[in-house]
Amino acid sequence: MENEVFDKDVINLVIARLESMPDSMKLAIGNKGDFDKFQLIDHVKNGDSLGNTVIKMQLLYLRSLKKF
Amino acid sequence: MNTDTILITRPNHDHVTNYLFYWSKEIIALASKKGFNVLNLDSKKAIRKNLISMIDKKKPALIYINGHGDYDKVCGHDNKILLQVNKKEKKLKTNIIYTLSCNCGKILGEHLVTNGVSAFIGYTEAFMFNYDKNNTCNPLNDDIANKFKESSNIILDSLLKGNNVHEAYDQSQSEFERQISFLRSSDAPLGSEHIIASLIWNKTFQTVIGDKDSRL
Repeated sequence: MENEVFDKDVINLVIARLESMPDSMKLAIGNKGDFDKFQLIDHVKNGDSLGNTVIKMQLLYLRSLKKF
Repeated sequence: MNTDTILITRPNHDHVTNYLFYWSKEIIALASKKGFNVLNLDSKKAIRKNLISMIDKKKPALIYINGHGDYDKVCGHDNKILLQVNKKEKKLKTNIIYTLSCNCGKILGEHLVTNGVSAFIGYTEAFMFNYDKNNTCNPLNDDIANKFKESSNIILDSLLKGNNVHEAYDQSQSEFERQISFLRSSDAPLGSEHIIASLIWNKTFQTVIGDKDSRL
């Protein structure tokens, strides 16, 4: 996936969603490793490739709510 | 090609591959019960030399690869490459390949089908799964991760029952939907919306390439 630049509101929305992740839950993202919510939030704030993947995943989920 | 033979690669060198290692144990048990000859390349045996040798000698009709991957490659133990687009290798004599790996569906899958594999099932972006960090020593007891296990294992279950690749893909897509529906219900566990997000991602980027009528 190419690196995109996301709007600040989108980033803040994703961070707010990630903050609600239970402390005991981790997310494994293939060869990138496995992360708790604090690590995911850091990657989102950094705007790196992993962070952007997490943002895209969250946006895909939010779009699915429109159809639901 | 031996339609009663399946080959599985099962590295377990990190947390992520360890989960896949345990998930595939159920497939080994199922396949053995159904009378299939299971070629189990587990842990350090999940290397290219063994994979190619087994394919040449035993000609498995189904190859199930677990491990890390990228758009043009899939890896085994310690992330050593198993199959890669730019590797000069003779055509793989197998019917169906399913990779539970990131990204392979985008380039490697097409390459494999062009080079002799009848059908490929995989993912065109990262395969993600949520898990309970308190269950890493008992992956099969992890109710969170099991939702991803069920959505993936049903592909193998379907193929082992004689369904074709298209049917196996459909059943997996339906299983993703079933898990998502449950997680949207009032009985859903804490943090379910995060699990739903990962399930939707995997479902969206799951792909089938090649002859969709292929079967064991």
